[in-house]
Amino acid sequence: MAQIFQVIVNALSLSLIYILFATGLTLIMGIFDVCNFAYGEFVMVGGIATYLIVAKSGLPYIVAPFAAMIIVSLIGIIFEKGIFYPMRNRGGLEPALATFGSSTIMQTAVLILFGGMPLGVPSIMSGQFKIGSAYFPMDRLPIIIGGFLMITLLFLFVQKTKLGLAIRALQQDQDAAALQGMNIASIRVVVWVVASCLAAVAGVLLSSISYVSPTMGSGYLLKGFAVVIMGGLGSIPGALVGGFVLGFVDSFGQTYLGSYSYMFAFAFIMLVLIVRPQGLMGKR
Amino acid sequence: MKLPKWQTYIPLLFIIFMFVLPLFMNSPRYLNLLNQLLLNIILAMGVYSVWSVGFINAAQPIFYGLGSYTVALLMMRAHFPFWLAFPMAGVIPAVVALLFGLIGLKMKGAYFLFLTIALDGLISWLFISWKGLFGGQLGIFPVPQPRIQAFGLDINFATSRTPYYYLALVTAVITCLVYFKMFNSRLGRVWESIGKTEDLLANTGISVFTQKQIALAVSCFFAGLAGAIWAPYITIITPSQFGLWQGITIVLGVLVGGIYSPLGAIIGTIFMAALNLVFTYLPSQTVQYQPMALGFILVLVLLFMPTGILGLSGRVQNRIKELTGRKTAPPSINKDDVKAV
Repeated sequence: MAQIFQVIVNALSLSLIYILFATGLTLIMGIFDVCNFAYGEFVMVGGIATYLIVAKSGLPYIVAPFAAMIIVSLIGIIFEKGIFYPMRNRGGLEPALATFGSSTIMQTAVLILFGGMPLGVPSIMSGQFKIGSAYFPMDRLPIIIGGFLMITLLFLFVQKTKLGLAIRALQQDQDAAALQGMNIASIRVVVWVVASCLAAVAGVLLSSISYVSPTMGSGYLLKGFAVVIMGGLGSIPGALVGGFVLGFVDSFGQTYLGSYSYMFAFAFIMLVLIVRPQGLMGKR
Repeated sequence: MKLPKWQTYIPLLFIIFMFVLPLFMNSPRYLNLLNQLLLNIILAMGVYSVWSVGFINAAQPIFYGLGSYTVALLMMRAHFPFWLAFPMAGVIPAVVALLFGLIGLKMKGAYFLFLTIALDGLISWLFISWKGLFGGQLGIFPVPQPRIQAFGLDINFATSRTPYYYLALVTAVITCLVYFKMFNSRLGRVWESIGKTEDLLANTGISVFTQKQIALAVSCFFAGLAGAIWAPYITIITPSQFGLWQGITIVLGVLVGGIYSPLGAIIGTIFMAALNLVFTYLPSQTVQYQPMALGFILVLVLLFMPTGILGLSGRVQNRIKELTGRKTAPPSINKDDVKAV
């Protein structure tokens, strides 16, 4: 019983990181119809920013998410203006390859600047408290709170504000939105900023429970894509459901199946795709 | 496209040049590079043909690796002769590709690219963890070497690298001939139009999905054959030889050469081999900068040179026409202009 509680706590925090990651990814995929292979590096930059602020400068932890959001958003805007906007009429494959190239550039740059060694960041909270016979590790608490906070903010933004309405309109039909007099170029930048902020927060939260390294994003990128494809391309509720499913499958798999969990997770995704090729929440 | 008569002889001359090349360049180092170049050309042709139906296969080296492991395991465990294991090494990757295509080819292009990356991770993981069959990180060795004893000839592959070069060359030439034949047939035109207007094609009653399956399976068949040459050549095969990075390098080669023509795939692969050769002459501290250089090439080519090296000649011609052709006067008048100045 105590072990199951432990696994559930782990699964919940893992799911929330997957969800943060996948919602940003699905937002970009839904609107630009392009896989962003450099998105893992956005998370990595968030982690590096946390390392610089918390471990190097000794500033309070609360500064890290805001600084990371600003830095990663700037990178996102560079991507939009440098790659995605100039290549907007070239289909989905070529920009995707370009993001792949950018991802290697960013990884190598960080490798040269900070070295390949994993960098440690102190966790936000430590210790654990007891619930019945089970222990609740305190370092998971900021992830659960921060994750839920970001997802709620995202939902409020997309569903309740005018800018969110514009983003949804853009997702449905860019040409029709442009004909209504919307400034497509600036709304695209907003989408990038939102997606970058999600990645930055994921990076900050992730760095408090694991090490920061140049390749930390790559593993999460694969998982993020898996969540997006499983949930349905471009669908934010799909990313939510998919993130929870993969988080729980992954955690339970790791606990009860050991190293075969990698195989198990991908077999599960393949199964979902055979039964529902459009994803769990996707439309045909 | 109808080529001028003299241009049709260029490939033939090139093939003859490649056949006599080992007579002059028989240092093992260059032979090794040429061998890898030929095998990469086989892979690149496959990547190009799958690209022409709208998909990028970044896991091509994994199918190549499957071919390598197939031939090695068949020769070592089942004691197959090389010439029987060789075609099998093409069939098994093709079957895996067909199974993978059942899921992957139903997705849109960019998501297929992701699925190939996932497949790469999955099969690499399988190579590493299934120690009983694939030997884990250390791989399997020694792969037995083929030997031809017929018609009074005795060619022993174990004593020289040159037979491997000719085997790779013959396989590459056959692969290219088959591909060029396919691209010029009805099948090739169907593939080309899948990349352009898939919905229109589907409405003419052609099963687009089957065509995509054929393209993927054929490309993986030839990739497997290339792998079958690699395994006895290198004699020890490990999972790290078939990583994602090699796949990206091949995709990059196809892109740099020009994605609008199969010739571009060959030219691009030669360019990448030359680049690799340049890298080996650089000081060893720069090794960590190499991925960055490749990344920059990838992004810059996509942004500023989307038609690749092959398209460059056309662009240069257009530019010259633009600069000089504004005056559509006969040359004699131009001469007068020069005199007047």
